[in-house]
Amino acid sequence: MSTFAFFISVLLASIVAGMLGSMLGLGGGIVVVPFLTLAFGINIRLAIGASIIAVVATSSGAASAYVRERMTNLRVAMALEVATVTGALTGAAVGGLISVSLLSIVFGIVLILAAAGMLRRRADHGAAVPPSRLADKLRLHSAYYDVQRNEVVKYRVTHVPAGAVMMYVAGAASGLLGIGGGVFKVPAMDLAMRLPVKVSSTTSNFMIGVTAAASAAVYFGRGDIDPLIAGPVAVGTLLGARAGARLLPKLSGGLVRILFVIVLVLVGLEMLRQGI
Amino acid sequence: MSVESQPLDQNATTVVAEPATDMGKAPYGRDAVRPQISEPVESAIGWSLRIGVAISMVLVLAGAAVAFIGGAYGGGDGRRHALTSVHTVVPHTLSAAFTGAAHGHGPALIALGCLVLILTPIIRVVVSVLGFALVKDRVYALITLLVLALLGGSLLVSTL
Repeated sequence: MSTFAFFISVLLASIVAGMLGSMLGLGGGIVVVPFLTLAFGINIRLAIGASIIAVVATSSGAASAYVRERMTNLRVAMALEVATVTGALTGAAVGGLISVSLLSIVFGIVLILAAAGMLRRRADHGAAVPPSRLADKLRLHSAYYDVQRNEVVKYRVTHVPAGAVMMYVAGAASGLLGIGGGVFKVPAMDLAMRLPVKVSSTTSNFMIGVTAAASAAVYFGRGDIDPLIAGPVAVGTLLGARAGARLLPKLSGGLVRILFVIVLVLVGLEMLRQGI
Repeated sequence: MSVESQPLDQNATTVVAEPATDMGKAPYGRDAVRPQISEPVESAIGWSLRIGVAISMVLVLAGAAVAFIGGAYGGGDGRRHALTSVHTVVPHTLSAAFTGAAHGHGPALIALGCLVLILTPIIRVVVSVLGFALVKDRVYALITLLVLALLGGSLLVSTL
């Protein structure tokens, strides 16, 4: 295949990654890394370098639209960024001290449990949530307009400390294993803090850019970001993220939840396979 | 604080108006909920992302065009493998990206585009700090400032 055809195919695959990632609050590395390594035999280091660019692009490309539509819970995102970035910092600091295969098994199990939990929690609106002083104080409760249901969905946020701990783990996982962290962030907001699923995915989308940006700079300095690979990945994921941001409001929360659960199970199984 | 479903934001004039016509006077879309922070701050956050993304996109596309037309990129299988292997020398410092881009080097332009993309979420945090300070939201100004400090810390830890 010619170099130009390579550029175009990577760009096209990245559009798919950006669309899926922006709708589910993930980085798109789940699509980008296997595509680059399996279809083109790209070295894993360079594939991860490109995928971290995909995370930043997916986040920045879709977040402006979600913020404009007032779907993102900006206060939840900014309060919890403290926890994820701290997690990423610890992850990077203690990386190498803990066995990667053990970590993969632990996180793989966590993801599959999270998938089961998210599947059980079908109705994500209307249910009363336990009161939370911290959520009141941080003014986290909010509302968004659901285009698909054609109504304003008001929601109250709860269990902020538990959510913060899960966010810390999400950050540590991305620091330790180089994975996006969206797969942990969405369950944290869904299972602990009880945000509606579309708010969880758009808020996760908003947050992952910040954590990824810190590690992206490191990958850049190490020379892991090859312009010929990262370039088409950046353009493709940006285009895909914009398309995804247009599509998500029209999807039902139930469908988003099912798609997310499928991705969680696949990623969880893959991590278990790597660990064993 | 409870959020009422009233069109509290009177400044939102940029919204597409068509859907509202078939729904009578009911507020629709973003107009149906009030901003969490304040309209100008949220819009500044959105624009900081949009501008970063646009600059990055232009740089990457221009760099790719220059690289393919100028011959830095091209060829078949062999050349492609050489260009995408771990041994490929890529611009990996700020100065390499800048000086290369200034000399019209395609791959350096793409690298600069990637750097702008990486910088975009960090700029977004800076804008948030200023925005919260502007609306005198002390708690969140401090929270976002802490995020900024931690980002700086994580860069230090991982590059040292």
